[in-house]
Amino acid sequence: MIMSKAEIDRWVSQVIKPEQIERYLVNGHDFIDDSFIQETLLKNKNPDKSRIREIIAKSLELQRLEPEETAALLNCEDEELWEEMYKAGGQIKEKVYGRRIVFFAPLYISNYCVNSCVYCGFRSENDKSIRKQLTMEEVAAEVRALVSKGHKRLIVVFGEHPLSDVHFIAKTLETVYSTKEGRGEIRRCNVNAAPMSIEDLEILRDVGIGTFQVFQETYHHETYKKLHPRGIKANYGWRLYALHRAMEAGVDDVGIGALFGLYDPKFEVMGLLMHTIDLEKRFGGVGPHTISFPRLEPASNTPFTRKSKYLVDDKTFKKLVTVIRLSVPYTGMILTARETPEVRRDIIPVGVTQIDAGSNIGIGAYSTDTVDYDRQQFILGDNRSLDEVIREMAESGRITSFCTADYRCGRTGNYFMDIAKKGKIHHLCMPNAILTFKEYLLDYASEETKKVGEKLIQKELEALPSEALRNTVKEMLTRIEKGERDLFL
Amino acid sequence: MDLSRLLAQKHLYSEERLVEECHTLISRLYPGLAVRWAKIYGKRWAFIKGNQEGLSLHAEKYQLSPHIGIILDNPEAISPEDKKELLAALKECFNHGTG
Repeated sequence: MIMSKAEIDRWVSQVIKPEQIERYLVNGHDFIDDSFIQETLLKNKNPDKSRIREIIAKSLELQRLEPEETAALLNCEDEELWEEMYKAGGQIKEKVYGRRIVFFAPLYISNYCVNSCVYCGFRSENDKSIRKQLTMEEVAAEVRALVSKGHKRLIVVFGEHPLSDVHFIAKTLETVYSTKEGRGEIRRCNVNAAPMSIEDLEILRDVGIGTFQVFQETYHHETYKKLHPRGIKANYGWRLYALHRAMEAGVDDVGIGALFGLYDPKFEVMGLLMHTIDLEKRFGGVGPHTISFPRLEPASNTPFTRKSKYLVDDKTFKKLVTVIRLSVPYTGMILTARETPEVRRDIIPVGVTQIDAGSNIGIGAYSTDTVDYDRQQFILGDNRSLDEVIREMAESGRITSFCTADYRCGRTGNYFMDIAKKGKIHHLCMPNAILTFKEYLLDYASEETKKVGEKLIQKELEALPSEALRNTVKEMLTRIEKGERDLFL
Repeated sequence: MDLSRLLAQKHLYSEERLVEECHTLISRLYPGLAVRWAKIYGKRWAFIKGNQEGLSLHAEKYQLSPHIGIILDNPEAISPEDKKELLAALKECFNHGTG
């Protein structure tokens, strides 16, 4: 496990391929024009009611907004209109994805890191952070622990370090996919890792990566520079085009994100929109598969997390998430267990499509069932079990989905975006949610959750749009009851 | 069928070109059959081209080679015999199809 500083430096020096940044620049510039964003925000101050309502109507037609429109929503100060926006966010989500909510679990694999992000507990200078990288046996043990709770979807997380290079990540994916526990297994494994070259991303593509997720953290150039003073991550462009390279490598589900709390959150929402627009422009209308919007959370021995002047309060956070929902109506949106149960209850209804639960972000902590803040990147806000959160969702009429059918059936990239934009994906999402929820209830749920869940399944069966579909799903449910697993449309 | 003519020339084509040719042929031979093509990467079936109109509840997917798969969105549009023949020809095409 031990590498000399010279070895690490040698690895660091060959990671960035300048030509794989330059190929995307236009006249030497990237697509985040700080002045344009600032000016657009300024020009769209004090929007009138009718304009906001026109923009809401456009979102309800599932059309992506333009920067001027998003800026107008961000600048709205009328609470009555905000209530209309919250409602519209929920309607849009239901129109595109139905009443289902996708569950996943984060699995931290390694916290060795060569970077120096001042807000991160994993930064290389943090001596208090206990470094750990899982072996493949330990990865398998973590996966077995997660599967035994009912999980089917993971996001594996890695620090940037030669010990966790692309070959290690690929090996991790192979281990995750080949590990079985009882009747369960992980069916989709997403990756949150450092930006890579196209050649490296092809390696991850070949082992069946789900979504490749890289967050820009902050889109504001100057702030980015200040907060990432050294290391590979100091290169803004290498990170900004990480997902363009993924798309070129054939990984056609990518996830963008911004870390709220580093800079003006309105600017960050505009950055997320500009990122979406550039991906759509260059890749035949295919933008991000998901958008994430984590808020800065306290981390061990990391004072910046408490003193940043841009920390976002709960009320503002709800507004920001709503504007993202309205701006990119057809894209998945992820709200993690960083947030408290109260915040999640308040925010999920404005348009969130994916959440995690039963999460433990300590490295190796699922199999040992322990919490150790010195091995974590930050501290979680929602520590409830998967079963508890699923039950609460069911009580509020939201059906849990562990569906992973799309990427196993050729419904990816252009095809997925096209049907999502037409508001048709829920025709499959809801049946597949019912089927995977049934599996969960039979194999993992508590008696209490089973009761609530079975009622919800009956309700959702009745709500399916046609008798033919209802009969197909009923027949599949019977097969699941008889012991078959992994049935999907 | 025309596919047999394509089979005779398959060695001339790359996998991508073969997908194009097969797709054109299938559209001509079975105009009502909606198909999608996918590149296979582990569990991921990444969409390449094909039917983008509506969703199917009875789609059938077939692996034609280690890297290429086809999804029949409305398999009922052709007879079981035609389907068997078509899939056999496609598998032969793609298993040895790279030029």
